[in-house]
Order: sequence, then C-alpha cells, then structure tokens
Amino acid sequence: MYLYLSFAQKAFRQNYVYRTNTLLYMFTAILNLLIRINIWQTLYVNKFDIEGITLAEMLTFVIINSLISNLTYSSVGNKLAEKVRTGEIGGDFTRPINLKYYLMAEQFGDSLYTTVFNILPICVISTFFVPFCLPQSIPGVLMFFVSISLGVILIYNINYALGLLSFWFKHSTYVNWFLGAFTTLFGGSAVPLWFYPSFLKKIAYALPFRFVSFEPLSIYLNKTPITDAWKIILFQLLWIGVFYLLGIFIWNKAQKVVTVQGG
Amino acid sequence: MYYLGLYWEFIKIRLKTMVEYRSNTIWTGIAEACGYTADFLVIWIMISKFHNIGDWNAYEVIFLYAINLLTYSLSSMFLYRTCNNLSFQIRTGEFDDIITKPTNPFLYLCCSGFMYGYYSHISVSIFFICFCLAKLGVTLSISKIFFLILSLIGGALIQGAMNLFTTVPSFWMVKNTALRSLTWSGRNFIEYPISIYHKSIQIILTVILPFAFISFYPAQYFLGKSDFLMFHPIFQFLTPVVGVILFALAYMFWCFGIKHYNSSGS
Amino acid sequence: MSFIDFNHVSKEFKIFKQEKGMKNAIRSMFKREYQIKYAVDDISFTAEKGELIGYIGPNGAGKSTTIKMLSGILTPTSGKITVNGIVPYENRKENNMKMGVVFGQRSQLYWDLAMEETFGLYKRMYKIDDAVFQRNVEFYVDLLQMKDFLKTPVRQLSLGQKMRGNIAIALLHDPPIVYLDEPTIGLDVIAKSRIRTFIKEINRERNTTLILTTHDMDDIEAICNRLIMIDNGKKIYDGSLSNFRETYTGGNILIADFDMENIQMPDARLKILKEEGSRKTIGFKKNEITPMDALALISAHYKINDFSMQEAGIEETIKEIYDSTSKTQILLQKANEA
Repeated sequence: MYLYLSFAQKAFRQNYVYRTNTLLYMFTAILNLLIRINIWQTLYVNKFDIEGITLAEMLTFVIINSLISNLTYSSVGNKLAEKVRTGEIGGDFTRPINLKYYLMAEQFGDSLYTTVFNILPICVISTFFVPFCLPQSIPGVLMFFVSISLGVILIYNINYALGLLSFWFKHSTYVNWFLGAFTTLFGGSAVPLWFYPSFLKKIAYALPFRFVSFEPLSIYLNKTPITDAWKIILFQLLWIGVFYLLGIFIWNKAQKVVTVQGG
Repeated sequence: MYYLGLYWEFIKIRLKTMVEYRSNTIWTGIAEACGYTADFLVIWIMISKFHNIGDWNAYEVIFLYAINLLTYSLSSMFLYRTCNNLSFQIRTGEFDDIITKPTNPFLYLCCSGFMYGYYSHISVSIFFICFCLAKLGVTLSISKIFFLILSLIGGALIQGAMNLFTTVPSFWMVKNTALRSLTWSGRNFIEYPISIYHKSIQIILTVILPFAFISFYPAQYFLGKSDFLMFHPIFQFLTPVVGVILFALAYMFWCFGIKHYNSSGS
Repeated sequence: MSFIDFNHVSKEFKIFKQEKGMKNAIRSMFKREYQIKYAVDDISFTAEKGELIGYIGPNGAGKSTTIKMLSGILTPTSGKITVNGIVPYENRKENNMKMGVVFGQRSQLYWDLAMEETFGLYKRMYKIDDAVFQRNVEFYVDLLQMKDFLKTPVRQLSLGQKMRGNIAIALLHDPPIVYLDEPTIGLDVIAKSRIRTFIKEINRERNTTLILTTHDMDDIEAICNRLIMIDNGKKIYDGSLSNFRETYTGGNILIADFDMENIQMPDARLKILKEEGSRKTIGFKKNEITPMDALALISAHYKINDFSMQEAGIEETIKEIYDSTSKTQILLQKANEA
C-alpha cells in the first residue's frame, strides 16, 4: 500500500520540478473557468431559474466541477495502450508491482498536483466574483466527499478496463476518444443532466458516467437530498464493482494474448 | 517552384501511411467524429434549454464552433507536427538535419509532417456548417460561398499564425509548452460568441490576439447578424486580409527564429 | 584559392547563468548575467580537394561547432569560411546542394519508407540527373552490399544497415565535400570495416573531400591522411597522419599479465597506460629503451605470465594529449617549431 503511495508522491514531486509550467497551466484553467462562468451568466440573463436551478447554483456547479475535473481525469488507458504499442509492457510483466495500481497511483499523483494548484485561484474567483453557494449541512458535505471519492475510483476503473482493450486493438487511442465522447454527452458535467431532454436523460441515467462528477455535485447542491444520497453511493459502489470485475476478467484474458511488439 | 513537386511527394507519402494503417485511420476517424459530435450535441442541449445565449441561438453557436473546428483542422494538417515537434527537434539536434537540406525548412517540415488524421474533423465540421445553415434557412449565393471559402482560408491562416507565434520562441526558450497552451485558450474563448465576455476580453480577442476574426466576425456575414459590439461592421469582411497579414508576420518571425538559431546553436 | 578556406574563425557563445529562486528568476527576465565562452578560438586552416581530414579533440573542444560552421548551421562570430567557393552560412541553399552530411547518432531516413523510395525522394530533393542517379545507386548498393534490404521499410533495419543507408544518401548527389560526424558509432566490426572501405573508395573514385570527426581512432587510421586536433577551441596539431605517428608516438606497447595487481614500474622510462586488474598496458619509447631491455627490467622485478608487444597506435598518444594540458603546451611548442 505504502509503495503505491510513494509512486503517487513521486509523480507529484516530478510535476513540482516544472513549476513555471504549472503556473501557466493554472492560468489556463482560470481562463477556462472564466469562460464557463460567462457562458452561464449570459444564459441566465432575465431568467431566475430553469428546471429549479438558479444561476448561483449553476455557477457553484461550474466552480466545483472545475476543481474536481483534474481529479476525474484519467489517462491510465492511454498509458496502457502506449505501453502495449512500444512493447514496454513486457518489462512491466516481469516487475513485482501490480501494474494497475501503479498506473492509478501515478495518475493520482499527477492529478492531485494540478488540483492542489488550482484550488487557490479558484477560491479567489469564487469568493469575489461569483455568488457561491455554501454547502447546506455538514452531513451533506461529508456525503459529497464520499461520493466524489467514489466517482474518482469509478472513472479510474472504467478507464483501466477499457484501456486493457489495447491488448487487442494495437493503436487504440481511439478507445479513449469513444469513452470521452460518451462521458461528455452522458456524464452531465459539461451541461448538467437536469437540462437534458427526456430522451437523452433516460439514456444517461442508464449509464455509469453520471456517477463520476454529476451525482456528487448534485449531492453538494442538495438537489439530491441526503435521504436519496445513500442510493447514489450504492449505485456508485455497484458500478465500481462492475468495472473492477471487468478489469480483472479482461486482464486475465490479456495475459494469454500477450504478443509483445518489439522495436 | 521546382520543389512543389517534392513537397507534394512528401504529402503523398503521408497519405500512403494513411492507407497502410487503414483500420486504425478509419476507427480513429470515427472515434474523433463521435467526440466532436458529442461536443456539438452538448452545446445544442445547453442553448436550446435557454433559447438563446446573448443574441445567438443554438444553431448559430454550433455554426461558430464548426467554423472554429474547420479552420483549426485545415491549419493543423500542416502545422501540428511542425509546431509540436520543434522544441524536441532543436534539443536533439534533429533540426540540424533539416537546415542542411537544400529545401526551405518551413515547407519541408509542413509537408513531411502532413497529418491526414484531420479528415474526420473536417468532415464533421463541414457537415455541421451545412446543417446549421439549412436549419437556419440561410441560402448562400455563389459569391457568398466563394467568400465563405476565402474566410475559411483566412481563418485557417490566423489559426496557423497564432500557433507559429507561440512555437517560434522554442528557438531560444527551452520549455514552451505553457506558451502553446495560450493558443489553446484563445481557441476556447472563441467557441462562443465573444459578446458574452467583458469588454476588455473582446478588445483583446479582436485587436491584440485576433482570434475573433477566425469565426465570430465572418460568421455574422453569413448568418445575417450584426452583433459587432464596439467595432465596425466591416470587420465581417476582414478575415482573409487579417489572415494573410498575420501569417506573413508569423513566417517572418519564424525566419527570425532560424537566424537566432544560426548564431547561437542550441 | 583553396577548396576549403577556414580563416581566423572564432565562435563565441553566451553561457547564461541558471537562476535559482523566484527573485532571481524574475530579475533574470530583464537582465541576464552571462559568460562568454569561445568554442572556436581563432582557428585557421586550408584544405585542397580530395583530402581526407580527421578532425579530433576531447569532448567540448569545439569539433562539432567547427563542423556546424562549415556546413552552414552556425554563423561564425568572426573570421571567414569558404567551401568550394561558397560561404556556407550566407548561401545556405546553394551550399547544401553541394555537400553531404552524415550524423552518426541520428538517421535521416524516413521511418515508413523503404530504402529505394528514400533514394527517389533524395533524387528529387537534390535535383539529381537520371543517369547520375542510376550510376550512383548501382555503385553504392553494390559497394555497401545493400541489395537485400533495399525494399525493407527503414523501421525494420538494423543500426548498421541504417548507417549504410545514411551514407549512401549523403553521397547520392556526388557532393564534392562530405562531413561525417561519428559515422561508425555503435556499429559492429564488420559494419565499420565496410563503411571505411566505402569512404576510401569514394575518395579514390570521385576525389571527394572528407572531414571526419570521431572518437574512434581506428576510423582515423583507416581513412584519413591528415589530422587536425583541437582542444579548448584552439588548434593544437595540423599535419599529415604519418607525420603525427612519427613525431609523437615512436612508441611501443607491452601488454603483460602479472601475478598480482599492485605493480609499480621500476624505471621512469616505462609508463603504465592502462590497467585491467592484473593485466597492464605499459608504454615506452623505442629510442629511450629497447623492447628487450624493457621486458628484462620488468620481469626482473615481477613475474610475468604472458605478454605481447605492439607499436603504439595514435590512440594512446592522443589519450595522453587529452589527459594532460602540459603535453598540449609541448605539442603547441613543437608545432610552432616544426
């Protein structure tokens, strides 16, 4: 366990070396946040609430989403695909480290780093420029943290399981693209699912993507009351289970299929 | 002029690779098309719910987004590899291999690094441009279509120029990935009509970093809008001119960068 | 008018100080402190057509800077260079047409193409005449034994095959001058030999002028007839290879296997050049002590299990020169006297 924590730490520290780079990425993140804030402010002109969501709530949504967006990003699938393509995966098989947890720990270190550095500027913006909604209750906040943690674990598992498909599809960066398309459309993070037409909403509700960021955010904003929050957490655990098992299943299959492509 | 044949050879080689890795090309194309279609759909969902964003309705915003995507793809077919790899090539000395050839280094890089993969972006954006025009009931005369093509080329030149401006500093800076992300931000800003931003941002995007000329101003001509903010309506016609001027400046900057490389190595 | 005229050329670089800490980093954006380093310090030499020059020196001596100026990549700070009547850093395109370069650690071949197709591309690039192209391709393919892998995509070729390909395309357009930077690095013995033979053959047939930088002294001994040595940006030797051998080596080597590792030479005329455990490489000068006496002296003090005698190659001498600056001064002195 501590071994993997140290991998995360290493990734975190490696990022620190490129500090000026970080500053500029932070700047970009702030710019992107400003864009989104402007979009919603313009959309809400002359309107109080749409589908029961006020501007203040929407802006809070956008801000917190921006904070956690780095955490819910996972390129583990791409890294796996790259390892398969270059043949590096052969070396990974011989090392006494669980590849899955290694990649995830590394990803987490990277993501945590960007998140930490984005917190301050985003807090500044939200305090001074935006009518930010504070959480309604302590249990609500706790549920939110639990839920978002599960959301992160969920996306890591999804990304990993699908990334394993690269053992069969040689240059499979497109698997990640497909995943991205689905996450954008059905994840409810770019545009919350509350605003979706019923047809698309039904599809989105059947898929796991909303449980990564949207549902946790919904809990925070109390759009999903605490009483229902438990159901959400249960669903999250369920979906994590599904993809975890899927991951194991595909991994076992993959080990049999290994053809290491040399260079 | 003789070298046009050679540069075309390079592009042909890249196209051959496209065919060689047929299934990968097709699947990547489909995946990317899905990705961008998802983006378009999300915009449509958002704006339809609210009816308008500023003075623009959903189809008009999608039209804007599509022009942005199309001009970006056109310029990136030639410039993506060139700009992305420059820093690496300078550090490893590969750039020396390029300037010891009897060809123009810029054209050589652009053609030998030709990226065919953008065909999916181009197809999707052209589709949505036509789709939006149809949905909005806009019909274009021959001259308007001609001007549309000119504007698209102008927009592509602006995209390319902005890309180059942030890449040339690689000749004297070691790490410039952060600078490159500036162009990314600029493009993000113009995905939506710039009227939603503060006046200061509008000025920056028009006069200092002229991203707005890529899609915002020309789009108004074709959609029959007049959301010119504090600027003159003539701006809707200026894209081809701005494109040529900006690209010429960017190319001069490139030459300046090479001169610097010649005097101080790597 | 010489074929290559390298006239009082200097190249200075500004070495910027690396700033640590935030305050210094911001200050450095406005005013940077720097040192001036002379990578090439007032070097002059001329060369005639057909010469095979070995250009050597320790790492950081200024070798690659010189080559870069000759090939037009860098512009000198002062002085003037003319190659084949062209100033390389002023007329780049024209100069590039008339020269060939081979960089040992990099490949100029195209990853996805086969050798043949790369030839075709270069034919267009260098505007090579059909007849010349045919002749050269046949000649090179034969001499470098490339027939079996002409149609293989470059990404599947071995290092040796790629290097042969690189040399072939560098010479495809019959350039009167070719620069080779570590052309045999990483190659096996057979590949090295093939390439050396090829280079000598080309020079014989076409009177191509060649400048070779390398750390492999066997390359120099096999190919070059002239040696230019530089150190710290200054030229410390410029003359024929045979002259160098005669003047600076005249040495012999005794390689002996002893019973133990701790061996001291009983005489100042004998120097241990290399130690590999109990095997020592001992150098001495024939005019100071004869081989027989050297062997006798050593074996009187230590038990020798096995030995062999050779003439010193230039490698050992050059190593000595690299290792000691005082020797450099001596060389410079001798060069001035000569």
